Order: sequence, then structure tokens, then C-alpha cells
Amino acid sequence: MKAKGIYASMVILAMLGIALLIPSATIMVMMILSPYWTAKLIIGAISGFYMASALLALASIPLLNKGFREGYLMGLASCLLGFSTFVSSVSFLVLGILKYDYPYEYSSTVMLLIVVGGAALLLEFLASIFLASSWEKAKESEGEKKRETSLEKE
Amino acid sequence: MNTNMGMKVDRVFILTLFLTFALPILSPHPALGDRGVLPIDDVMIYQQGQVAAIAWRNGDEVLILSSSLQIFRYAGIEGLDDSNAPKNSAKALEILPLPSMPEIEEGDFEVFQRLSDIAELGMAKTPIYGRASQDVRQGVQIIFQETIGPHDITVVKADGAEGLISWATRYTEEKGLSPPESRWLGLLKEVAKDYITEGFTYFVFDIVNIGVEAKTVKPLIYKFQSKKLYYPLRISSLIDSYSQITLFLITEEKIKPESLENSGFRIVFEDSVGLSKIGDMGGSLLKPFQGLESIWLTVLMWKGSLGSLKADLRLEIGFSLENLKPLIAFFAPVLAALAILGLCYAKAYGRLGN
Repeated sequence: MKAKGIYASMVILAMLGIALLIPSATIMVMMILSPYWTAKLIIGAISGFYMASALLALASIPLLNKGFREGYLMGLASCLLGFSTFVSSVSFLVLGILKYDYPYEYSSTVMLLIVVGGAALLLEFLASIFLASSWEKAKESEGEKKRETSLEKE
Repeated sequence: MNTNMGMKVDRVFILTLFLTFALPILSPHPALGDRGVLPIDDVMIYQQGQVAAIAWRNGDEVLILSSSLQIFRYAGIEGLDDSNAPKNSAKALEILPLPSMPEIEEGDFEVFQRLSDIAELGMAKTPIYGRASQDVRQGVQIIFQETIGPHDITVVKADGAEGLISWATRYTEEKGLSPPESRWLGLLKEVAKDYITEGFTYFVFDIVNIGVEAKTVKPLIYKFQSKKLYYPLRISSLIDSYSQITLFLITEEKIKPESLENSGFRIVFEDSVGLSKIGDMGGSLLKPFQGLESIWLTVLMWKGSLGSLKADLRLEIGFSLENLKPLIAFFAPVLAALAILGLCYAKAYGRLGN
């Protein structure tokens, strides 16, 4: 029997994945179409890390559903990656790296990254708690699966 | 055996995870023409802005340049007396250093308007060629001298900065004007020395009238040879006023962004445009691109104090990794994430299989 926390974390990770995937994909299209500007490199890296976080979050759902440890690891890695990317982008903004070095018309891109990253913090926090709290259950579940498989083989 | 295998997969997994987070921190590269102006009368000159269209292909450059100048008045500024500056108009000497002997024609404002419309940022020519002269004085040879519209143009070839300054002083006197103040000449000497050392020996002099209201002088077209797309900026530092520079660049390929590094210019528009869409545009600007179907139009902008301009623009065109770097920065973590999730799936289902 699966822990309730796993269902909650699966829903939250799905939300987190979609929330980060759509803006990151939009920024990627904008970067292909827009002319060169220096901060594009940093914005590209930040949106790339958010996209990576989104992929890990979405891909962890089927593994969590089966009760695999890797699902927990990927879910936690997704939350940590999203969190550290947000902290990095805010640091770049405070240090002035993202503040002046882009054309005014692209200021909305920086704001989108900050707002989405900030909004995702709550989801990351909740998903981390649920994943961490149901970690033991996952171990038990995997043990049961192994036993079932070995019995079937015998 | 299985334990060893599992440990190996674990190491690969941890290493891949580490690489994802430890991807190199991509630091930003700080990105950073015109004619110099020497006031002849005792006035302060303010340059409101410059606009230029530059077409470059295989070493042939066409430069259409216009600037708006005005006399700066102290009136209204507390603590500054404007009574000693009653002049409503004054003369100034504009100087443009070029890498090779130019051909000069009168241009039209309509070019800027049309390019601006294409870039969504939002005047006929009569070629006049001057008389050549063999007059060589102190290493300065007058190559070309003519009045083109409101411009009184003289092109000289100088071997040394000293000779150029002496010639400029005599030139203004011959025109019935008082010579520029020694501080201005000192500044010009420093800048001219650098240009001549670098092989920029052709200087275009133009005597212009400046009023208290900003007036944009009708542009001139300069055609010359240059190994790179060239736009003189250092000469602008002669007057230290806050200004804005807009450059419309027409090239066969994209501008290499690294050649803009530290210039302070930013690209506000960059696109491939069909020559049919641009239209005739007087012919001069698009002449180097005959036979092509499309060109790259790039619009550069700069705002700041002209005194801070320390280097000229020398741009290169062609493929540049700088254009791909943002995409690499985007896809590197995405690919790393895909590798991790591939490993995770393989490990999870592999273990289940065992």
C-alpha cells in the first residue's frame, strides 16, 4: 500500500514540472528568434536549469508510482535544482548581472524567470517534505516488489 | 558480481548528477562614429545624436553619416553666467578619420527613415567630386576640396599629427575664422597621433554652422576601402557631451557579436531582409550587394558620454560561436537531465529485472 504522501508528491511534482516547463520552452523559442545580447547567455542557462528541473520532476512521477527509489531521488533532485537555480538568478539580479545588461524589451524575460522560480519554491518545498516523509515506505514497497519478483521466478 | 555492477552504476549516477550541478558557471561577457567636433568660436557644443547607415562587403564600405549639433547655453542654470555667450550661431570644424581615400557625395535623410521603418524602430543625391590638389605642406596633402550642400569639405592625407594641427590652424585662418583654442588642438593632436600610427592617414574636414537649436546637418556619403566594417568613435571624444548613436549596418552575413565586445553598443534589431523590400535607397548604399537576394540588417544603439569613447568600431561578419552560446547554455542542463533520467529508468527497471 502506498503512502498518501506519495500521491501528494506526484501531483505536486506534475504541477512543478508544468509550471517550469512552459515558461522555459517559451524563453527558448524567444532566444532563437531574438538578436544577440550579452545577458542572453545567463538567461539561457537559467531557463535551461529550470527546464532540466521540470523534466526530472515529470519523469519521476512514473517511477514514484511504481515505488522506485530513483523516483524519489529524481523528485528531490528536481526540487533542489529548481531551488538552487532560483537562488542563483536572484543573486545575479542583486549583483546587477541581470539588471542592466539586456535590452529593455527583454526585461519581461528576466521577470518571468524570477516570478516562476519564486512561485515554484512552495511546490518544491511541499514535494520535498512529502518525498522525504514517505522515503521509508518506498524502501518497504521496493522490498515487497523484490520478494514478489523472486517468488515469481522460483 | 551484481553488487559490483550496482556500485559501478551508482558511481556513474552520482558522477552524472554532480556534473549536472557543476556545469560551468557561464559568466557574462561585458558587452560594451562619427565625426569629431572642434569648436572654432568660444562656445560649448552639444551633440544631441548621431545616426549612420553603413554598408560593408569585401572591403568596400559605404558610410552615410549625420549628426545634430547645437550650442550649449548656460541660461537657466543657476550659478552660471550666460551673458558672455551671446552668440546664436557659431562655426565648428568636424573631423572624420578614414583608413583610405574616400569618395564623398551628398546623402539623404530618407535612407535612415526607410531603414528605421524596416527595423520597425519606431530623404536624391548628386555626386560631386572635388578637385585634387598637389599642395603638400608639412606632411599634409590636400586630396579633395569641395562644397557639397551645406558642407565645406576638405580631405587631407597626413603623415604626422603635428603637421595636421598646423594645417588645421592655417585652414581655419584661410577661411577667415579664428583658429580653434589650443586645448582643443591639443586633444585633436593626441587623437590624430593614434589614428596616424594605426595607418588612418586620411582626414575629412568639414566646416559647419551650429545654432542654439539642434539642427541635423544633411548627411554625406563616404565610400572607402576598409578591411573591417569601420565606424570612427574615438574622434567623437573631442567633445564630452551626452549623446545617442544609432547605426544601421547592412552586411552580407551576420555581425560577429564578439567584435562588439566592450563597445557599449547593443543590438536592437537583426534580421535578414530581402533587397526588394529595401527598395532603391539611392543606389549608393546597396551597390556593394548587387547580385544578392537578401542582406542582413543590424541596428546598433549606444547612449552615453562621448568622452568615454576610447576605441573605434571595427566589426567582423560571419559565423560566430557567440550566437550559439546561449542555446548551448540552455541545452546543456536539459541534456544532462535527460541522461540522468535515462540512467535512473535503466537502473530501476534493471534492478526489478534482476
